[in-house]
Amino acid sequence: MYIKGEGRLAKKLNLIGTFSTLGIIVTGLMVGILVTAQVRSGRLTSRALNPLSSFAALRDTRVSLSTENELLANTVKSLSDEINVSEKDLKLTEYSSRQKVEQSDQLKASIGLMPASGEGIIVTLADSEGSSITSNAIAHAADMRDLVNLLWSNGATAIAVNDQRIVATTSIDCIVNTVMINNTRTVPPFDIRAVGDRRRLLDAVNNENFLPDIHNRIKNEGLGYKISELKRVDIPAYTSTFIVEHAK
Amino acid sequence: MNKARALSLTAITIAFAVVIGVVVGHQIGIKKGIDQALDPNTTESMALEVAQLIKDNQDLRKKRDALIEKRDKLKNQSTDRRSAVGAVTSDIEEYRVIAGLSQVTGQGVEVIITHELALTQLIDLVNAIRNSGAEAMAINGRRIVASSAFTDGDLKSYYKIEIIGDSRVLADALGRKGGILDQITNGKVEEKQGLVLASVSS
Repeated sequence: MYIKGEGRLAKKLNLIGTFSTLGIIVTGLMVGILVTAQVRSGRLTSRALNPLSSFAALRDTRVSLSTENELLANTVKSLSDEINVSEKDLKLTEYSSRQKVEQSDQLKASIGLMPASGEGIIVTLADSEGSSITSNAIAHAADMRDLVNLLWSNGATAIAVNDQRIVATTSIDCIVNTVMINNTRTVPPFDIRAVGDRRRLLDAVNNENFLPDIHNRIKNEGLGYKISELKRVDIPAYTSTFIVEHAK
Repeated sequence: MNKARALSLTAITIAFAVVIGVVVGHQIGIKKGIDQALDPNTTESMALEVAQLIKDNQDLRKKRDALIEKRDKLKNQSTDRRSAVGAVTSDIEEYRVIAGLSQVTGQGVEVIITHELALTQLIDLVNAIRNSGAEAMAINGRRIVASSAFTDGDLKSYYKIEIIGDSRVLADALGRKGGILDQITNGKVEEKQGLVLASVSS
């Protein structure tokens, strides 16, 4: 025989059981998190007496080094300009000098010390504009390295990223949240300009079989990727100079 | 019997919850670590930036000194034309080295990798070598210049990479703990004197 009160009691007991299970789970979770925090805090214990002072010292050093970096870069630039003027003067003096300077100019052009222009493409790589930014939704230095490699392998004759000419000594590196190219820090969006057969370059950067990781992130994470095909792309010269001390 | 079953079920639930808690706690720690690494205002990030700035400024100082010397030679061309032409000739030799048009010799390092690399790893490795101050390099005898590109066809199970530059700096930069070889390629680096790299055309 069914008694009305028994049903209610069973429901009540069930509810108590569910709550106590939930309570156990929550307590277990908390214990786990606390244990982990305890272990990590033990590992991270620092012996620095005043961590703030090292931070402040680093910040000041960064400021003075950045100022010096800017000054040195400007000096190098103005010295290069002076040298170019002197070389032009030398070209006017006699035939042998002119030949030498012309040979030097041709080599300069081939290694990126002269501006370049011609038909080509511009690829703009940018962080996703979406609200939730994950690591896959931002443009990385590695993406630019892969793109530059793809452009070279498809016949590009000159490449620059955010006006930094890619030369034999160029490395593209991530420094915290900026990208360092030719001693210059740069931030997204990244304009990758390439001179070369624009149809061929365009096919390469649009082909999803190349750079599959970038193409996946464009589709799934909203990574910014814009391509322009142009009759004329201007690429600046490498403004710094090369150091050859050991290779003879 | 039922009581014992209920007790063991509770114990399993607690143990499971603790494990999940440890995993969650660990994940929070990892996330915090990543955030810290990406934050430009943490001590670690700033130290990294300062180290890079010191290296860049050293390079720029060297560049400035070389340019001052060259400018002075060229400036005196009206009185000493031979010296001015000499400066241009020495530039031509230097440009030919950079373009890979001439055979080069010098001190440096040899990197040996005895396993296959992914294409992205090869690209990263060449980038790191350039960042370490390489003046010239060759991979399995192929001279690498600015426009050298890599495709799947370049992926081998053995790489001999010869790099000319300051041997000590190159060995330290490439072979240090956490450096490129440690990170992705697991290769061996050895300092060498008298490396000879063929030109691009040969």
